[in-house]
Amino acid sequence: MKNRKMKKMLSMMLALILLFTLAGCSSGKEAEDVPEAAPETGAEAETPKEQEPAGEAKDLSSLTIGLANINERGVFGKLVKQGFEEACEKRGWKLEYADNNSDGQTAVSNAETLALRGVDFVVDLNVDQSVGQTIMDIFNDAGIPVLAVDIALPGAPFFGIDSAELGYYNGEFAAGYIKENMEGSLDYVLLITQIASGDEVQKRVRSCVDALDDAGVTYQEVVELEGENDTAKAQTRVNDFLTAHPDAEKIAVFTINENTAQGAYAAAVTAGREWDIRIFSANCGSQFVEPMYESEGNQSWVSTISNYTELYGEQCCQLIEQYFEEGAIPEKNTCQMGAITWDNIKETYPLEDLPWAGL
Amino acid sequence: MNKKMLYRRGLEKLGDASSLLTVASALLVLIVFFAVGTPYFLSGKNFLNIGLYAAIVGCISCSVTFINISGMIDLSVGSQIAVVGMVAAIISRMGAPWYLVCLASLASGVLCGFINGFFITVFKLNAFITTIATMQTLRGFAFLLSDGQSLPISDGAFKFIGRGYLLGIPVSLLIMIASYLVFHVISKYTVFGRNVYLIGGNAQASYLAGIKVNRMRMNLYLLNGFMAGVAGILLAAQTGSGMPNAAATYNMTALSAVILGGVALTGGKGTIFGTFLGCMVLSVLQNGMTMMSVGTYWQDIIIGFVLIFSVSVDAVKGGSLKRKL
Repeated sequence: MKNRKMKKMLSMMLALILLFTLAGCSSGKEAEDVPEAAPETGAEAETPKEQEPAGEAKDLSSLTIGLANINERGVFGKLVKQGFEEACEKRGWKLEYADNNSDGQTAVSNAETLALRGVDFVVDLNVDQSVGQTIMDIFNDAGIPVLAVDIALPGAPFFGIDSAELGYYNGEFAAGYIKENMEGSLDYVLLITQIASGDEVQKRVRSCVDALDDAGVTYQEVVELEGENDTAKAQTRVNDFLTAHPDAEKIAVFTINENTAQGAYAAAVTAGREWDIRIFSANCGSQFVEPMYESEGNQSWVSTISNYTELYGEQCCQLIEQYFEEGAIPEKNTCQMGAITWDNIKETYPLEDLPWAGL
Repeated sequence: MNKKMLYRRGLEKLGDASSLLTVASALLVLIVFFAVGTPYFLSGKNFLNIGLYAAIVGCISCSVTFINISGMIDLSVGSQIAVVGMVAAIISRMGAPWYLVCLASLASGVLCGFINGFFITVFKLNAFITTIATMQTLRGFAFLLSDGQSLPISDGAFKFIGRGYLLGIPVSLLIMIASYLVFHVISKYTVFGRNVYLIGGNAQASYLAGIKVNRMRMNLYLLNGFMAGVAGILLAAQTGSGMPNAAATYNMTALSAVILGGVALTGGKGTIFGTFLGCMVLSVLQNGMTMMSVGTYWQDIIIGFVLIFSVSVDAVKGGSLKRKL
């Protein structure tokens, strides 16, 4: 009898826990990694093609913008959302928001919902290219213009990272540094790849080599190591590389993101060979910024290329304004980017006002 | 009767020795192969490196060995390590000294172990299902702790645990060696250790013989949580950050090490030393292949092949080909 009561109480407790968990989940505090490598331009460098002119002139002060975000599981999606909220508020626009949750089916369902909500313009961040046409069909049928961000949608103008351009830019910056500090020559160029994200994303490191070549930087060999977007794995592999090349003292390391850059940096520090490598990464977040402030620039993780995710909202809203004012926007629009170093970090990412601090 | 029992024990010991011999031979072959294949493999520095980076999986494999010998399983160790790493990063960033960070991290690991143990021993849920559920839940919790962000750790004293050297030996490696020694002593020379084998061999008979099976299982999951705490500290200290997506593949790596070392997933059989050898085989393989510039996908294929080959050799030696089923 006592046992039965106990069972009932435990069942009730479990049911309550389940309810609280569900309630907690509905607050949107989901938890998984941002597929930071997922953003892939997919857009070829074609001659800019103008979009169809806007059907009727809109009052720019009363627009409703639909944002279908990539997900809210990590910093990237949150910065995108925050940027759009600020940019729309500044203009007095209404923002209708949906979370694609990195899932194609959800993205299609969100497209239907946004179309029903009567938005004037949609910005879509969808990771599943296979549903791109379906999404576009929904918006085309509803007569809603679309801007695709970071992953191309068929027939929609594109805004985001051009991986090849980013890689080349990183390589150019590195070449300048190497010429100034390492006599323009290297033992090895180490590229930390992330093959699972596709060939386009690999250009973020492979194009660096083109820039080094064009700048006349000499090196013995280019070596690719797979980082799997995992700090610990990148650390182990870079460590093994350093052990296999004990005499190498001038190694330039290029990474697709901060995760693997942090692994490479930790490997060199642990091996007591921090200054045998120089790291030039892409993406800018706390993993780069905090140690940079802490070391006051005295570290071999020299720079990172920021694509200023926090400004995506402002840049996209400027394009939307252009669309409604001029009737068209260019087919391909590359986001701003810049090399963040100790020399400019205080202006670009001041410690007291980091864009991700309030997330 | 006594003779029969002695004979059976003799056979079991022979079986354990045979498993150890297989994995030790595999390790030797690998070392010779890589020593010939790459000039820097056979250096003291490289062996220290292998130990340094094997320490995380090595530590968690100790307690996973006990879990598996007892006939249970824990698929949530990777998520537990991620939670511990996040706790370490959060506490460290609050300005706490390294020892408090370690204490809080170990406590969070033990709490994770308690959650598993609670559902398995109180509700009598299947360990496989329970730990799949906690694997998901704890991973989600790791993300929730920082809203998905990685949190850099700046405390040099804490990072010393993962990156520092004592008398020329990496601290991580020393911690792993100490863990294996302690677990070896527990398994061989304590009542608790013997009971782990007994409940793994036959839980019902052990219960009837007066062993408190559920309490044993709970203790094992607590111990496993503690070791996840140790592994999580090492990971956070080595990488210098707490990462919610960390250690995602460590469940399988630890299980592979344990299986390679001759532990039977059905329970009752295996040794800590075997797991150590299994762990070393995997680490040497990975290190040697990276030094020989073998591609990552090939590394995965080769590691999988070595695992299936070693277990097959062991099974054939155990007479699997002669059995009908």
